[in-house]
Amino acid sequence: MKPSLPYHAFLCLLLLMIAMSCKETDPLVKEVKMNYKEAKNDSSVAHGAPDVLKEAHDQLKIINNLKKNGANKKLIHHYAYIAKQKITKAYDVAVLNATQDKIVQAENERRSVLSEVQKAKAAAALRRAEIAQQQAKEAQKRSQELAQKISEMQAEKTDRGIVLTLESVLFDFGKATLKPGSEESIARLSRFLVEYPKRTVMIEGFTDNIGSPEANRKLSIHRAEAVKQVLINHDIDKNRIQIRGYGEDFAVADNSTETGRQLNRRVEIIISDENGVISERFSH
Amino acid sequence: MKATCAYRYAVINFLAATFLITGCTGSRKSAVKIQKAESAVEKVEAMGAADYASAELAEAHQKLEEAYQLADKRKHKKALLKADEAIATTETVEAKTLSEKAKKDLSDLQASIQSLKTQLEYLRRQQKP
Repeated sequence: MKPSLPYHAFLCLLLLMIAMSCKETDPLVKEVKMNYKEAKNDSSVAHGAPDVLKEAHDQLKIINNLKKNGANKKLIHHYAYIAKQKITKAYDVAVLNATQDKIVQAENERRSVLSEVQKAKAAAALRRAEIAQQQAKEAQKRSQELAQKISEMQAEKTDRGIVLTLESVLFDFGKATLKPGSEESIARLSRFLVEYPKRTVMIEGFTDNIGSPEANRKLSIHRAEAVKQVLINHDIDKNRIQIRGYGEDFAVADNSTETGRQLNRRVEIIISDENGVISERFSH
Repeated sequence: MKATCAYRYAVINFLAATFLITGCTGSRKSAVKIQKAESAVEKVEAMGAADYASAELAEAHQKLEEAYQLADKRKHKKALLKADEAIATTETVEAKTLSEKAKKDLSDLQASIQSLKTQLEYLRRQQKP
């Protein structure tokens, strides 16, 4: 006896129902299963957040049991949602754990570099101290050399600077021509100026009170100019030399005696400080 | 006959009490769960989740809101499930917030190391005669 048509229809319907029950109807459940598989195969997640991944797996097991027991779709969807959150959490926890490991390493590195910086700072401070000490020694040496040079020039230190006096014996009476004996003094001054290029000079000429004040002033200027010319001949830049003629003013001795007048007929050369500064002579 | 009636009353009373207790228990369970979800949301907000996982935080708020609405409608089982979903979402928010904060900390630390290295290089250059 052949099977009847209703029998075939029943068989088809049964197969269809079985097929439908096997096929995943909730897209979220399907997505979650796929996501779980991916997360499990991702070594960073599998090793970085195994506990959270297990929680997700537990949710999937609940879903399977619910499906077996024919639970309603909304309940299955709920557990699928929970499972999805667990999988997302697993990725974040894995990143968190990996980042925390990197932070520990970075903190160690920072401590190490900081220690190096502190050592380098200490070394730099020591070096600065050494340099300062060396500079102080050099300054002291320069000061001693300067004192030696001043002494060699037979100059003296005053409030206005270093003063070198060329006395009247180096000039003929009433003339502004330097005598040969002055050469050595001016040569020493030239060497000094070459050695200390920042220093400048002011040449001041003076006379005794014999003759008119105007003539004396001119004579004093001519004497200062004569000295300036000799310095220029020794390759000293003219811009480093200033001249002044004070005539019979600023006498250093009594003009009533010949000895005093001789002392008043003079040229003074004031050497500036290291910045090239010379203060002007104040009038009486 | 009287004994049979008494027995029936007892059964009805028992069933009514059970029904009442079960109903109350469902309500209490969902209320507790909703409260737990609220606390979880408040906790992640205090952590600064709005700056690091704003979309996920909004989703947690949405789930919590749905739980409130279901509870108002006395659908306690559904409210409990929504509160569970809110809690699960909040856990994700927390993990993401912590992860993003850690990334920022690492980035700051790396910047600090770089700055120190630059300083070190400068100091070492100065040391050279």
